[in-house]
Amino acid sequence: MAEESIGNPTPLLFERSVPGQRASDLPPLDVPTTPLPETARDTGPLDLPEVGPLELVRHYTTLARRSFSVDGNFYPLGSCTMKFNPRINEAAAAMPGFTSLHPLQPDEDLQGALALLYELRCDLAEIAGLDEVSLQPAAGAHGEYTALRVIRAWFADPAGGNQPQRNVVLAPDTAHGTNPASCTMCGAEVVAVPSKDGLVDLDALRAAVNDHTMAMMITNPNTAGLFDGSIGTIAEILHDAGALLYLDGANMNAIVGVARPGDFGVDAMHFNTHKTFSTPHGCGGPGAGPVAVRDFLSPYLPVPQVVAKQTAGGGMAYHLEQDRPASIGKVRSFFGQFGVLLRCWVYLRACGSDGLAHVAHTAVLNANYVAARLRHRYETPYFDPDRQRYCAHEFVTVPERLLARGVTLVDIAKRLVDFGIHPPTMHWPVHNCLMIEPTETESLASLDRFVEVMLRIADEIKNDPQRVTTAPHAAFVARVDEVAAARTPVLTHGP
Amino acid sequence: MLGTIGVADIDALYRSLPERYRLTGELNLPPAEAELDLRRALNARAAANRPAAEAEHGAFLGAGAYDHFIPAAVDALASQGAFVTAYTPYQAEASQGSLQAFFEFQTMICRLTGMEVANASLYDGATAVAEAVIMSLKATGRRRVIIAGTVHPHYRAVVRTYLADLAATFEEVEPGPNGTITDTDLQAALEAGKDGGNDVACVVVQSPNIFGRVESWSSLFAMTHAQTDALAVSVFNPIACGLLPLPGSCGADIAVAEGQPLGIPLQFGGPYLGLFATRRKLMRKMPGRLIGQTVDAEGQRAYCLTLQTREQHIRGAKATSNVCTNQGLLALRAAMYLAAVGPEGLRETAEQCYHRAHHAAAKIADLPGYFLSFDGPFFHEFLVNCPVPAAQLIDAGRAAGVMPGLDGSALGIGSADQLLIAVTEKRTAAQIDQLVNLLRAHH
Repeated sequence: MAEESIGNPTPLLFERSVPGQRASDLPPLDVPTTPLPETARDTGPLDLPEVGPLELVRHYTTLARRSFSVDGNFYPLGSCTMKFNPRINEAAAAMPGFTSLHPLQPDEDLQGALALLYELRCDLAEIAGLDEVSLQPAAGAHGEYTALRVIRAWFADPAGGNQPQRNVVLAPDTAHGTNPASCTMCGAEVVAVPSKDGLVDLDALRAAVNDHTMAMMITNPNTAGLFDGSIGTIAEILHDAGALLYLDGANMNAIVGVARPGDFGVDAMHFNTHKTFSTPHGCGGPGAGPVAVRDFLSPYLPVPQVVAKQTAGGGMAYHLEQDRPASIGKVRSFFGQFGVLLRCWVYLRACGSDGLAHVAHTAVLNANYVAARLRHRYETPYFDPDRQRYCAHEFVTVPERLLARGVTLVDIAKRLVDFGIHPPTMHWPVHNCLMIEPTETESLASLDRFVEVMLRIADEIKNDPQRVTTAPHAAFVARVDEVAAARTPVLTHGP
Repeated sequence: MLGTIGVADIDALYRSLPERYRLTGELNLPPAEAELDLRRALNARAAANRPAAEAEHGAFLGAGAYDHFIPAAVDALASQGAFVTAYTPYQAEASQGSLQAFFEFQTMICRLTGMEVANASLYDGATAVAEAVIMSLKATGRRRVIIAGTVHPHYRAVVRTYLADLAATFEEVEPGPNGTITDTDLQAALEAGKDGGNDVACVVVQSPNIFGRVESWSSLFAMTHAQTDALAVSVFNPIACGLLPLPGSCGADIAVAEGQPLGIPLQFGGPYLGLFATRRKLMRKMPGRLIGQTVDAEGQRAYCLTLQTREQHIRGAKATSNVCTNQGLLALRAAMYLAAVGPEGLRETAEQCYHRAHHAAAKIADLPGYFLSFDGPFFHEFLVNCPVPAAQLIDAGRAAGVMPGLDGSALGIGSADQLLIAVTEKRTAAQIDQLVNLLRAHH
């Protein structure tokens, strides 16, 4: 019997619980007690786990060992930009001068934090080629929502021509799912614009715009990994129809420091700091989704906004401005994901302008290199160097010949796990595709190993398909039954 | 690498990016700095702050962001690279560790609230309230939202923003004379619509509320349910759950909160943690990620993301919410905190908050010219009427190394001579004495 099958190697915290154990204490109460309120619970403590200090540490150390991460694994999860997260960012965010700030302290207590936010606000506007940035949104989808609300508010206003009827948002059929969902959240209707060869079909776009069109949400480079060179024409079509162009900044890693959305006709956009600017993904968050807009939209940005004033002494004084009468209001409590924005600031300072362009160049080089090495075994419908069709920072493969042998995309993904590689994004933006984003921080050796593993899996599909269809074999668990999980949801432990 | 691709230079790969859109010069950004210089710049920025939690004689600031003790284990365990640098656990076999941790988090939030299902987090308390309201609109098909005027002003403001384009009405019930919502006022609000309240989607009540006062969820929610089938939304404080009645036992259909008190530093307001729990019958209407327990091909216990057909990446415009990235790492911190303190530690923390706050309140109420703005039970925060403007006390505190509280008018919950004072388990008898001395000196 293998050692690990004796007992459960990964008990739940609740199963580690021993009555009376505790991993933390408090100094004794040094003030007189007051009778508890009549409504105080007298049913005893809550049914939470009771563990000692070693059990606590061992539990979460065990769980950490059972998770793939950028630190430990190649993680080419397309559209998520799983790049290296420099440790200086973490060290900065852990400084007591920042972690111990209460969000409702007077501005004069917060000058260091506000200076940093103001600088970030300006730097992001410069990178976007737009006029003003709000740092409030908590994530990319929240940024989309915020910007759409801003655009709607402008249209409803005399400044935007009193056009509240403009409530239709166009989005390519390859859009992130958050795009249509964000539209619904702000009461707008979404109309999909079909793609041709992975790019926006301009005729379809011309047919779709009318005086109900509020904006088009576009990701460029798009989710198929292509930079849409018609972006100027797309902007023109929308602007001619009185509508605006919104950029989903999820793929900024390909163009940051190389081109600015504002220069190609974008009116509003969001950044995903956790993608482009290397703030860590934290098992699913936190992110931050700063929004950049043209000047005519800035009065509608959410409150508060960080602003700077020259002081009499020649220095700068920073202030959180609440009084913006045309603002859409608050989109979250307090002031944004400060700890995330701080990491973003550090990253930008570490890169500088040249560094950012280098990020984009290397991300694009790495993706094209992997695509070029894989394409003869894994078809790349939009990537063909023989016809000078290159990808941006990520690419899509639809491995039809391999799938025709009776394996599924899931099989390939799960087999990758055996090699310690996190599977790419699957079935999106087109069916049966893998979307591969190596990022700029991976070494050539790491890219080569990935290619070797992918080629080996392709060989296995030919010679030993069962090895693939029954994968993973060397993961933390065998293949997980997701269908059963959804059929009979067990969302909590115990009764 | 270029040879493998078959191009001469990287520029060639940008072929589809028209020349006229390419930057020719540099961006106007500060020059790149080495790590040591960055450290120096950060030190200067940090030194220009005056952090509350470092105040020499203590800070008494609250209003939704509280200075609680965080065991060292929470920082150490949450800063493991495997947690920090992973993403949403889309591939179950590669992410069993984080999936199990989130499954445990969901279970702990259910047990903390007395609810049946909890998601794996939302952005913060304010957006959690807004999502609860939107879920109520969808679940009931109605457009009237009643929210207590004692809910945190930021939460109300965010709900207002979220409802602005959704053809829903937003009505606030004004606080009663004791700083809580009265049954009579809620009754009147319910009846103000048609069908005696049967057009109401939800009733939102926070307890402890923005004044620190304990609301009577049981009675308000019982009235809501007796009169309509609107959903009862409770906004709770997770530390108070150690002591006070749980949302689930008071008739709440949805329980939401700011999870910051659970092991998350103040860090200038974010990232924080939106907690969201509900009844099992409403499970499929929930926003956000859910982790489920299942088995692997060998029959071993395993975990995975589940009920994803509610979510934007599957359902697009018909999703329950647009949320994608959530606050995963903060949810892990909250779970680690709860695991570290355990049920006894949570109870002790809640009781210490209660006793220390009541000790401070009693001493302040004895000072000439000062009195508590409201009678009745409170948890660890209270509003005080002062003989001088709150701003003056805050300024005076700066010199004395005490942050005495928040200005009621600046917060939008009271007048300029009201001070909102929060007392957590971290505030010592000596710090409370310093606070009292500061106030005594100003009347």
